Amino acid sequence: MLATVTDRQRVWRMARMGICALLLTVCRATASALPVEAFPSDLPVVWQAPQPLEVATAPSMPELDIGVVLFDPGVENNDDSPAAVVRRLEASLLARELKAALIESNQFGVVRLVPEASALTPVSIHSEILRSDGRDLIIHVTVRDAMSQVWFHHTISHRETFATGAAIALKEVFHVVSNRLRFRWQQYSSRERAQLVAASEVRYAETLVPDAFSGMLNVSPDGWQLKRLPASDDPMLARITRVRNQEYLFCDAIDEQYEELAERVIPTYALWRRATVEQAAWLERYEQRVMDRDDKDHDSRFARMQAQYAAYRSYRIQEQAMYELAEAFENETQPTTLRTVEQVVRLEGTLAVQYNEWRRLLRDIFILEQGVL
Amino acid sequence: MAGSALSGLTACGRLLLPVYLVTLLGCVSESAPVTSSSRPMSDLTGQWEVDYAKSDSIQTQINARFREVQREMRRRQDAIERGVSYQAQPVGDVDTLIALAKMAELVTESSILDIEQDTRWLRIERENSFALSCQLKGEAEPVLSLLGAEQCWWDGQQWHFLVELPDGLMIEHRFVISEGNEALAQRTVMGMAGTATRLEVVRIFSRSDATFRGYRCTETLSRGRVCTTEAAERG
Repeated sequence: MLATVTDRQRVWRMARMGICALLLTVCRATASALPVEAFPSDLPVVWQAPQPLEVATAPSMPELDIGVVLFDPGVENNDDSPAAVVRRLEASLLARELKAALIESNQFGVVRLVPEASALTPVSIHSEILRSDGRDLIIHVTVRDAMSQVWFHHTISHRETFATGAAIALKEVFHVVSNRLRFRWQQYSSRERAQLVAASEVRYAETLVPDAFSGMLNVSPDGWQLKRLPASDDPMLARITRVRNQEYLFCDAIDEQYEELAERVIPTYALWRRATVEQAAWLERYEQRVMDRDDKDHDSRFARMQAQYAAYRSYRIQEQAMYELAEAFENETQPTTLRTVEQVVRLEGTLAVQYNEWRRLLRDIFILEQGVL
Repeated sequence: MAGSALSGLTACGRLLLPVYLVTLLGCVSESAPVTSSSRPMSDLTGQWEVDYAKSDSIQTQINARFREVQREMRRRQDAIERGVSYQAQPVGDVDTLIALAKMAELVTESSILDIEQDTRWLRIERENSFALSCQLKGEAEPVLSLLGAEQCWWDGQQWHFLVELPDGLMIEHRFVISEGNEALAQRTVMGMAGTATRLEVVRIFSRSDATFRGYRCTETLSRGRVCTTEAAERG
């Protein structure tokens, strides 16, 4: 672990030294070198090995439904650079991997990918990609309940090494989140769990008809308290359940689309990650061999230049293939067709636009129905 | 080739070579600012093919450079033999120059460029190599990766693409289009951190697409390649 960090430091130190030397070159330089500040600082990252997944024979009751929010890619929305496009694709693929880990654990209820956080599920998982370069993956995860209470934060720091000869399945990186979520969920008594599920339902109802459900749930930054529940035969509650099911329907339709697209993208993504790690590892080994010989000139200057350029070129060509695929993924503004009670709705635009449009439609239908009654 | 050029040097000259490294071979071009210019950007869109007749031959360049070195060495020897003082011109690091020349051959081997440019992006696809791409809005931010760093900018007259590798190899491509938009010059400067040695190779490209295709295609996952006419898109 320590050795890996040191290797990285060494690589960047060399890069910095080289660039400093270049900057200090007194000649009429061909162009200004890249600024030294542009290179990332050597953060003391502790790389974590994936945990074994704790798998249950059956989910604990009541079942905890989870919303996995599509990851925040950590790039600007208007950034169209290849790196940003690839990162946005990763944000979708990694969310799918987290969902897969949660499902595999068999600890929870329904796990859905959701475009945005909402009170739709009792618990939602928000994740932001802090670093992803094909080898290193750093993701900040926050788990919150529908009452916006933070359950825990976790930072995943994974460095791919292929030490065992094969890449780990990416979902293994997320085992830790599933394990921690299970641990947290089991800390609650059965009564508390049932209350949390009920409270999240009230919370969802509040977002639709604040007046009808106000006063049932008190939420403050310190916690929440369920004061009372709507009557089980409340017709409004039945309508809200129907709206909720329609929103689930949207998420499931989107999930299906993502699944289909991801299946086509994942082999290239895996190849890109593998190639990046192999290139970096090869270059590090090469540099180490040169250093160990203690006589850099023994290896010709051209051979060293060529090795570095070949590694970089190969990395960039792989990235390009990945970029083209990611761009194709982004170009998918596949319309979603959904059937409500009496009409078929066709939604177009980006996923977030479709989701907001769908929620707006559901609210409109809900208000109309209220008026009829 | 380099060897044959060097063979003309006397033994004394060869011994003296490392002594005179510093700057003669140095910088062949003026520095350019990393900040982007607000002057209108030139449009490089199109497919370009190298024009060998107008382009530099690396071999010729190297020969010329070594002839310079040989002449300089002779002048120095003459001065020593005659016992007169001589204001020596630095000749540079020949090992690095040879390495850079071989690298220049690799780096500039693409003979076809396919360039796409819109209001947001300039993308230069190079045959047998990786594409150079540049975001046209905002500041010129360096793109860092495990294996190197890249930066691009528009200086008001030409496009710059700078690649730096961890061991100090620096490659800068500059692209400038002719007034009639019929020729594109790619000036590639190779350098090594810690040395003043630079090598510049100029390649001239001519348009290979006399007429625009009139349509534009986009890759999509589910529908494959989707093409629309440019007129329809603009209209």
